[in-house]
Order: sequence, then C-alpha cells, then structure tokens
Amino acid sequence: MPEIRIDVLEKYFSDFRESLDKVKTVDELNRIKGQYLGRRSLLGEFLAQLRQLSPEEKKVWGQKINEMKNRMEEEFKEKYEQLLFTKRKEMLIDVTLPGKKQWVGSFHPVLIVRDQVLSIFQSLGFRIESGPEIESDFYNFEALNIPPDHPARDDQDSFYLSPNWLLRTHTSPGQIRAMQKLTPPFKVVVPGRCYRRDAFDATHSPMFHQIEGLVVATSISMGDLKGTVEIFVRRFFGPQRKIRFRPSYFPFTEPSAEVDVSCGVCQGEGCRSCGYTGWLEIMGAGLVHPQVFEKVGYDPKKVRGFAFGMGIERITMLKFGITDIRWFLENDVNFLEQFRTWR
Amino acid sequence: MRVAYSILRRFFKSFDVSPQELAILLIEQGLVVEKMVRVEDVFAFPFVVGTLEEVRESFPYSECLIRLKDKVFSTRVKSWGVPPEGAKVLLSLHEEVPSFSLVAGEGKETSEFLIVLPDAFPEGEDVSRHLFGDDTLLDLEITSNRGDCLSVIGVVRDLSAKLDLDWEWPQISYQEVEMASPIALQNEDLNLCPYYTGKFIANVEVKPSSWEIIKDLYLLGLRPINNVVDATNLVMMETGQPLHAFDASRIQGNRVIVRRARRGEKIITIDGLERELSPDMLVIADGFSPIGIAGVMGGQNTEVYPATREVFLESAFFNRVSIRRTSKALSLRTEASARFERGVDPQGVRYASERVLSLLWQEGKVQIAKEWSIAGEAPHYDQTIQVYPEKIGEILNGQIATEKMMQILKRLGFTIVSLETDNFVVKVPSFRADVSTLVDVAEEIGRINGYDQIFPCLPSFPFDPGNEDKNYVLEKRLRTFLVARGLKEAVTLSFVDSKTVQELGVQPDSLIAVKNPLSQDQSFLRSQLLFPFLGILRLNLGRGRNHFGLFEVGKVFYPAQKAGNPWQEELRLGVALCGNLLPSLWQKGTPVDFFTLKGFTEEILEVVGFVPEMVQFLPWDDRTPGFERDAAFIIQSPEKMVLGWGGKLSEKILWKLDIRGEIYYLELKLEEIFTLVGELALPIRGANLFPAITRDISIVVDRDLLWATIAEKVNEIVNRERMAVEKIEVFDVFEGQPLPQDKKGLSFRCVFRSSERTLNDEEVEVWIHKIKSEIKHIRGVHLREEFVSS
Repeated sequence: MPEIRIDVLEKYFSDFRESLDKVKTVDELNRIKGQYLGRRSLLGEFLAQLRQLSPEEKKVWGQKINEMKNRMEEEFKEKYEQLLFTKRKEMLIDVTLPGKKQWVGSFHPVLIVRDQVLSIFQSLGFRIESGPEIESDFYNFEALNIPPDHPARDDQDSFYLSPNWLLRTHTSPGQIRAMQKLTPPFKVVVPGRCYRRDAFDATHSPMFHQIEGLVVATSISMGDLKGTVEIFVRRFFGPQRKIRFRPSYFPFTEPSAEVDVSCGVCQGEGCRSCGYTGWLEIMGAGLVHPQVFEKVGYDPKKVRGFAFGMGIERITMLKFGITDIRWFLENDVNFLEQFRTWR
Repeated sequence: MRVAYSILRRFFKSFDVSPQELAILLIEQGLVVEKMVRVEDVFAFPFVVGTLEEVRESFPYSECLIRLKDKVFSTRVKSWGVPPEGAKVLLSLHEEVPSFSLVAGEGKETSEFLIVLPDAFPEGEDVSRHLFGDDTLLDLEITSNRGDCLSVIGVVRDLSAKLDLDWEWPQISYQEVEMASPIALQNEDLNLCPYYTGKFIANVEVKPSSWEIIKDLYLLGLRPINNVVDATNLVMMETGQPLHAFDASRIQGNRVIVRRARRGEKIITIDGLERELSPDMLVIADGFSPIGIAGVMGGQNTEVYPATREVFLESAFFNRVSIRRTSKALSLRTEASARFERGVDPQGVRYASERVLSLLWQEGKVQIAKEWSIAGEAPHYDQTIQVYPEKIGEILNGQIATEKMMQILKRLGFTIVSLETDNFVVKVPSFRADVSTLVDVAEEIGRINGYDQIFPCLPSFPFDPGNEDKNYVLEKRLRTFLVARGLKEAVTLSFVDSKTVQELGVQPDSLIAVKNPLSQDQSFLRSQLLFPFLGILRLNLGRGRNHFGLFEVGKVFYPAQKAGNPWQEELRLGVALCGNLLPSLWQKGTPVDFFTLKGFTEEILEVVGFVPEMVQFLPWDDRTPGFERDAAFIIQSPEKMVLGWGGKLSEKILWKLDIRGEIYYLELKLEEIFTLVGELALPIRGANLFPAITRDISIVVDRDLLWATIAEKVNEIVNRERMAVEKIEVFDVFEGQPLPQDKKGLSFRCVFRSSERTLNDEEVEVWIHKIKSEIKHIRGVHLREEFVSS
C-alpha cells in the first residue's frame, strides 16, 4: 500500500490526466472513472489511510486529497461533456418540408353559436334547462295557448308519431317545463333541436335548433325584454348593431314582438342580404300570455314574465355569412374544418 | 293579402304618406310588408287603346279585328264578352305583338272578354300611366289572429289609428222592388252556420265588369270573371266577408238548405274538380244535391255564367273550426276559407251583402227583392274590458296619456263605455275577437303608439342560476376533448330511411315511425347514431375526403313505455374514424385501426372520470349489427350494463350502402355513462417519489384465451395479497414459430411501487412467484419458461 506522499499524489493525478487524454468513448471514460475515482481505487485507499494519521496530519493531507479529488472530478465532467456532444452528428434538415401534422378538430358551427348564446345568457344570470325532443300535444301546443284547430298550428306543420305525440316544433315547451320545475322569480334558457315539416331548401330544414328564454318575476315589462335582448344583440353581433321591436303574434305571448337586428353588411342602409330593408329578423318574443301561466298553475295577477325564442341556424348563417342551411347537416369535413379557430 | 297604395288612399280625405313611408308605418304596427312592387313590374305595360272594328261571330268564340292606328290585329274572344263594334278596348303591346292579358308574363291565345274603356280615350295612345298612375302594391303578411286585416277596410282602420286620421266607409246605395223571393231558405245546422242571409236578384245581365272594378281586382291580385262574381270578390277583398252568388234559376226545387253533407255525397266545384264530401262538412244544397261547400267553394251546377238572369246572393257567418277542418280535409284553401277560418265579423255579414247589391244596382236594370232570406241570427258580441292605464304603462314600460290610449282604441273600432279616475271600460268591436283581456289592449295601444316607445331596462331580482347540470358539464368536457384530439363535430338528421335500417338488419318495429314523413328517406327516427353517420360517411368518402374523425353528441329514439310516455329518447355519442392519423403524403402515416378506436374509447372514458376497473370490453355478440364479427367490442359495466360498442364497420354492409372505405365506429350510451361517474372524485395525492421495480412475465396460452382473463386473475391476486402494484401492462403478443398454431404468447410487465417505502428485490420476487404460480393454473395457460412444445 503506497504511503501518502506528495509525489505519489502528483503521479496519481498526472496518470489520470494522461488516461483521460487517450479516452475516446463514454464507456472508456467510465472505466477510467472507476479506476481512479471508484471505491476500490487508490484514491479510496488514500482516504482510508487518513484515519490512521494524527489529527494535524489528517487535516493537512485530507485537504490535499480532497482538492485533488475535486479537480479530478471536474476534469472528468469536462471530458464527459466533450465526449457527449461531439458524438452528435449534425443532420441535414430541410426546414421547409411539411411537419407531421395530425388532425385538427373543430366544433360544429351551429353548436359553436349555441354555446356562445348560452354563455352570454349565463353571464346575465340565466339558468340552462333542457327538455325532450318528443313532446306531447299538451306541452307543444295546448299549454302554450294553441288549442286544436288553432290557425297558428298551420305555421308549425309537425311530424307526428301518434295522435298525441310529436317532435317538438319549437323549444317553447321548455317554458312550460321550466315553470313546472322552478319557483319564480327565475331566468332560464332552453336550447334544443326542433322539427317542422318543411322540405329542404337554402333556408328551410326539417330539423333545426332553437334557444328559448324565459324570465318570470312579479313585475316584468316589455322594457325588461327589450333591454335584455339589446345586450344580447350587442354582445353577439357587435356593439354597433341596433335592434327594432315590431308587433307580431304568438299565441303564447301578449304583447308579442318580432325582433330585428340592423343588417351587418350595410349597417341598416339596405342591401341585397337584408332584402333592402336594413333589418334582419332574429327572434320572436313577448310577455308570457296569462293563459299560459294559468295552464301551469301560476296566478297571472301575481307574476309576469317575458319569453323569447330564436333559431340558431338563422343567426349562425348571419354571423358567418352562410347562404345555405343544408351545409349544416351535410357535415362535409371540408366545410366543417373552417371552424377550427372557433369554440 | 295584397293591397294597393291607391286603394288605401281612397278611403282617407287627406293622405300625404308616400308608399315607402306607408310600408314602414304598416311594419311598425305589426302588418308585415313582405314585398313592395311597383305597378309597372306587375302589369304588362304599355297599355294602349284599340278600336274594335269588326266582329265575326262563330260560337263560342268570335273573331275580333282590332284597329290600332294603321294596323289591324285579330284575336279570338268568347262571344259573351265581345262589346259592340266601335268600342274602345284595352290591349298591351310589346314589340308590335298585342296581348289581352293585363298581368306581365301571362300571355293567352284566347280571351274570356275584351276590356272596354270609355269612348273618350284616344286610339293608339299609351294609357298605362293614365290608368294606373304611379301606384305601388304591398303584399302584407297577416298574422293568424288578425282575420279583420284580410280586408282593405281592416287595413284602413288600423292605419287610421296609426295616422290618427278619419276615414269613410264605402257607400251603400240601391233600391229594392216589391218582389217575392222564389227561393225558400232552410238552415239545418245553426251550430256550423249560426247566421245565413240570402238575397234574390232578378233581371241580371252577366257581362264583363266596368274598367274600374276590373282594375281594382287586378290591383288586389284577383282576376275578373264577370260582373256578378267580380262584385262578390271585390266586396270580399274590401270587407273581409266572403260572399257567393248562385244562379237562382238553376237551384233545383227552389230551395236552399244549409246542412251537413250526406255520406258519399259528391260535388263538382267551380274549379271543375269532383270532390267527395263527408258528414262533418257543411254544404249549401238545393232540393236535390249540394250546390256549394259552405265557406270554401261554390258548385259548378249553380255557377253564375253568361246565361244567368237571376241570382241568389249568399252572405253568411260559418263556424270557423268547421271551415278549417273542411278546407284541410279537402286540401282546398280558398280566399273565402282563409277568411272564415280566421273569423269574419259577425256584424258585417249584412253590410257586405248590401255592398254587392250597391255595385250591381249601379249597373242599372237589376231588380233586388225587398225580402231577405235569413236563417239564424248574427252572433252577439259584447265583450268589455276594464282598462287600467297605469297597468298598460307598466307593461309597455312607457308613459302614455289616458287620452291617447282612448283615442287609439276608438280609432281601432273600440267604444269607450265608461271612464273612471283610474280606469276606463271599452267595448271590443265584433271584428276583434282576438282582444279579450287587458294585455291584449296593452298590445293594441303598444303597437299603435309604437314599440320604439318601449323604454329598455333590465329585470332585477335575486335569483341564483345554480351550477351547470352535471350531464351538461360532462358533455361539454367530452366534446372539447374530442375536438382537441382532432375530431370534427357533426350534427346529423334525426331521421333515417328504411333502406339503411334494412341493410343493417334492424327490425323496423324496434324503431319509431314518423306518421307523416316528408319523404321515404325520413320515415323513421334514428335508434342509433350510426344510421345518419352512414350517410355523412358516404358523402365525405364520395367527395374524396379520406382522412378524418367525426363525432356527434345527440339523441336517439325508440319505443318503450315509461311513465306514461310510449317513446324514449337517450343521449349518445357517435365517433367515426377513417384513414390516416398522420395524413401527410411524404411521411409514413399511421392508419386508423381497431386499437386506435379502442384507445380513443379508453381515453374518452377516462376523460369523463372512469377508472379502468369500471368497464369491461367484451367481444362482439350480435347485439349491435353492422360490425365485422372479429373486430368489434361491447363495453359493459361491472353490473353488466351495456355502455356502448364499437369496432370495424362491416365491409359488406358498407359496400351495399355505397360507402367505400375502412371505417371504425364507436357508439356510447352517455346517460348510463354519466350516471356511473356520479359525483365521484378520486382522492388527490402527492407525486410518488419511491422507486419502482419492474418484472416481466411471459406466458403461452390458447389462441382464443382473452387477455382480460389473465388481467382479471392478476388483479385478483394483487388485491388479495395486498401487493404494491402500480401497473400491469401487456407489451407483446405473438403467434407462430416456435409456438404451435393453437397457441399464442403474451408478455406483460408488472410495475411494483409502494407509496410508503422503497421496495426491496426479495419481496418483489415473492410476489412475482405468487402471481406466476397462480396464473399457470388457469386452464390453457403455461409459463413461457415451463412451456414445452410438443
């Protein structure tokens, strides 16, 4: 066992340096590391011998050996990094070649708009409710003040499953269900699919989506309806858009109104897309008819409410400038992928 | 309902509103102007004046030679409609070609009659402007509550309220003669016909109407027939009360009976079609047979024609529901039925009749019997409403003076019965049965005062909308995940055709049939999202879109009695994958396969909150047709509830349905799945920093043995022995040499890791030994190291 002497240590260090210089691979390097720095190396033995020295000697030699060990480890690390990074050969990458692109997904435009509308009303404190697509005559017509043989039934030609059951022609049955479930005051929106016996053309589809809104409280006015719709229109269509209320008729609201929004193309001046009127029809609305309240057991003397309903396909077409409603149900991925930036 | 600007203006003393302003006013008060057209766009301008030079009679047509300055045209006209030679007649002239049709684009070879103009018109002159002026036609869309506005007077009355202007009723002026009506009237059904009036007119000369009447009819969108029919049509347009003129001499037995049709009874209506009637339809009959379908259309047998000399004029009030049903049952909608079913003015029945009499009397000659044939009486209408102006102001959120409210209502035909300090009482006119409560009055005042006067505000009350519904949240999370994974969201039709259903081998009686589908393609409701998906797959593949993933969240429908509802609906997710996940041409792609779909399925389940133990994947079992038997799975909960299914769609079925491609499809029953995940949330721990020990096990098993059999057993051992296992994962499945044909090799890795301490090799060896020693006792399982190929 070599004695700890200064020349022995220096020789040990220079041997290590010499071996390092010859090293070509990481494996070789690791072997050298084991040989000079490992547990069974001479260095380990030096450290073991330290224990037998006097405290003064231990302090002096311990410091020297540790210094040497640190320098060796540093040299080793340097050599290791050198080996590691010279190993990587540069590739010739043509950065202009296309990448490995995976599929990019997209939501359906009608549902993008549905979700946008819902979140606007949610931010106004509305609750989201839902209802079945197969409805009974009671919910779809009767409770909405549309008795059998009412001429308004002509406007909503229905798909019947049996004399008493049909595919809902509007989301308005959602009003009845919400009133049966909740206690006033409340604000709800009800989205959903609806069905009418309209043959397909550019603006008609036997299946479409609507969103119904209903607010019931002790004293609701046409003003509340107008203010709410105004906020919705500004947030959905843009701050510069105006609304127009005009009288209309729905059996389940009184007074009733049709809501128009100023044309976004001509800003109300009149152009081809608004039929030169400057206005685009977007929803039907009004105050809940007292008869409807009575049907669900509410006292029309104690509550008033407003309701509105709008076709989602219609406002989707307006928002994106889509000219044919049939594209929505075709689901051509070439059409759908254009909505990848929308959510 | 079409009205002409010139006709509306006629009713007012002063009227200084332009057609454009008029249209806006009408829209503001709720009479939607669908279309505004200028006269020159409707009529075959230019109109010129010709002189009838010569008539060559040859029944039933006459050859008429008409001179226009230096040219002479010839035309064939029905003999009864030919005026005397020398008369000034109207024709339109286009590039030297004359036409006797007034409406643009309606050229005809022969004419019913020639239109006679006053002699003062100079021959050859373009009189278009002179005859029609600078008129505008407005097509109004009348909502179904406003039957009163299916008349010129109704529109005028509404307009008078908006403009706050006086207007005048058309004049009634005729004389009657002491003459008994030969027609006996009998009303057998006062329910369906509460009020019927008839008037006998003799000495009638049927001829073309005067130019003034012809022009008005054309402006209102009708066609002239003859003076008698034209008078009834014009008055119907004017007052909203449909009328009918019977040729009295052809009424058999001199009796007019209002009754229900007899079973099997038939009538040929004036449009020439034979129609079969049923006992729930009301008819007007003579002593032998029906001569008209009440309120819908008259019969050919008593139609007024050139030889008619006596007329029985009907004006009646029919039950609106009955008319509606009859018109629907016969698919026969007429101007008359449209008015009756929306409700005509019961108090206006007699006035309308008198207007027709006035028009006919103006032509001279006719003799009007003094006696009225009347059956029933005009229903009384005495609805009154107590109006609280303060309430109206509240509803409309605006200040409107009580005086103004009363003025509006008066203009609309209401009568103020009494006036108190805080309310007044109005009597509703008989033509406004749609108004019966305070809110109806509020709408009347609101729409005339202008909806722009409603002051916008916001509802304000305490209401907590609550959290979003759990299913709504999960559905949204699912959709977002699928879009993030590169799929496109679809919305497909809820209908399905019978062909697809049959090809898939689905029994039609397991589907809900639509009783009145638009077409055969849409005769059933989908009971699986797969049905409409096939259609969109065909479309996309047919258009050369080869690499895509589509999904839809939507309802399916099937018959099943539950809580009084014979039809059930259920929320599903459908996913279709097709082509290559890395579709670039120059890189080697990754074609979608069975395990891509299964991976998606597992990811979807994880995203909504499932842990692997909550589901089992079983081989396909015929429950869901349409898949390849060897590449499809059923997903089941531990309670054996089916949660969904998926796999490779059958190549043969796709071929038959004209779909060319390899498609992997998944359908999940979202409601069941959402119920299972409940509110359950996994406890969150800090990351595990203890080292893992991994050991691989290789076994040889029978080819048809499922991995799930091994996995279940291993899990059972692990749980029983409380082993610290993090994961059991297959990493190799192999068949062929050196294994015999009926065997396969399975290798899986067991990852051991404790969350409390560092494991040591010795305890892991014990566990591995335990696992090996137990699984080798499963039938058909050998440890690889012990397997001897025989």
